[in-house]
Amino acid sequence: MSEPRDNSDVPGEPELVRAAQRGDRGAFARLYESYAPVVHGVLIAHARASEVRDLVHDVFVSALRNLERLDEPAHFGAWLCRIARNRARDDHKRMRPELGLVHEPARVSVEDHGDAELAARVLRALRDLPEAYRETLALRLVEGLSGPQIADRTGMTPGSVRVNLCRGMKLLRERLGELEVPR
Amino acid sequence: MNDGRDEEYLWDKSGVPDAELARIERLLGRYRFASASARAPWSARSARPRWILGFALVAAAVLAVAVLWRAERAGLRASYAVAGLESVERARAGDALATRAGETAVLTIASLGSVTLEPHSRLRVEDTGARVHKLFLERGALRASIFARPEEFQVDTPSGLSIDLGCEYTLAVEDDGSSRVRVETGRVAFAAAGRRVIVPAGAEMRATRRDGPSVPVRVAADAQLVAAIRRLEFAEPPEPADVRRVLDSDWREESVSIWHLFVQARSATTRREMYAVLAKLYPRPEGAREAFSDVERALAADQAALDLWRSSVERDWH
Repeated sequence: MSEPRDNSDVPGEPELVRAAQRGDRGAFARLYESYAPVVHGVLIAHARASEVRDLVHDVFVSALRNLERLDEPAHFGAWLCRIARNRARDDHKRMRPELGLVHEPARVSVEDHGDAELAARVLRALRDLPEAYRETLALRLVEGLSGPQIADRTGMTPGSVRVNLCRGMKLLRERLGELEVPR
Repeated sequence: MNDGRDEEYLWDKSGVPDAELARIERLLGRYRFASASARAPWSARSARPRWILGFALVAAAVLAVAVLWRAERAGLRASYAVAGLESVERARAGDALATRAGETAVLTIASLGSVTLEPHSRLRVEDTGARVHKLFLERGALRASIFARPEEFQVDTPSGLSIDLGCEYTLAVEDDGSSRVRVETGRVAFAAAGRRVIVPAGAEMRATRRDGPSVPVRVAADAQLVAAIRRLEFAEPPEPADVRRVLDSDWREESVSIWHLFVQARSATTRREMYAVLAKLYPRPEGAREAFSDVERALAADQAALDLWRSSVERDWH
């Protein structure tokens, strides 16, 4: 991943982090609301979809417990993404490999079950990409964030995000072609 | 494949993606983050080959052992201590507690905090799980003081679900099933009927079975302003005097109401007026300027873009 970018240009956020460090639960709740989709996007790039919801909570609990150790509030987003990445790796080690075969539960109705299977295959293809590509693409294609939003929230430079999106998408298209996923 | 077009669309969503990219985006969008109240259900499955069925059975057996083990552990903390009621010392999932006139009961919610059940109230414990603690307030009032992960503590009511985002608040349920939330510190989300509002400290909100949660208002707001906000939420078309009253208020101070009117007022006219106020006060987030470049786009903005802009607005919510 790229080096974290200083997020001090986002007005008010460092203050929010400082308030949360002082024990302001409301401030932490606002950070949760703002960053939960980002954490979710990073996690889903690594962990099983059925586990991600619970892992999001675990990441924020860990963040709450360790928030006072964060020296630079402007790096909150990058710091949180690191926690999410580590938590996903821990979870991956804990899970037996064969459980990876379990169906990924997308939010679907019975009628579009076929699409659900396809969505699970596309998600698996995305997760097989190199880490930087898969995380950035997950934030863009799963969570619906734009490139500038991803840069703001993760601490990556806009240039890195743009490159990751472009190269990652090219690779994903190739992988989907190799898997013969209907396109 | 069109790398150049990919690059611009992926970067800022400008232009139109090719059919393949659009489909990938639609398929993966199914996994998008949703709040706890909208947790993804397991989908129904079609018939599968026998080996998959066999594998599933083995996996289910392994899972059952794991669940039993976890259930045993969870059993140690599967009830809440109750103080103030003569005949009840602990409450488990499924138990109902009722207070009479002049009587209060205090539930200790694991290590998260406490809930005080006010006189003449009735409460049911729904879930004492390791991840979610959930009560159902049938009637009366409770006061919650909770230190927990956001969304870990929830109280359902006949008119919607209140979700703790880390705070102290009171919740009351009237005889007709309508609810009222008043927040002292932190924030509460209230969700029902496809709507979700955020009630910050110093604000209150009412919800009815029919309409779900209403626009939150400051507890200390002028009564006539509150009345105007309540009318504006549903009026179509809005009364110009009501719009004027909101426009004449202290915008930052009333930003919680202005934001929610922008998001959920029935009238597009009202939403446009509120957008104009918000656009003057709060810079559109760098990552979502396109989504809020004009009022029509703003009115059609997706949830992620709205959340991003709201994070700027809510800095004025105390």
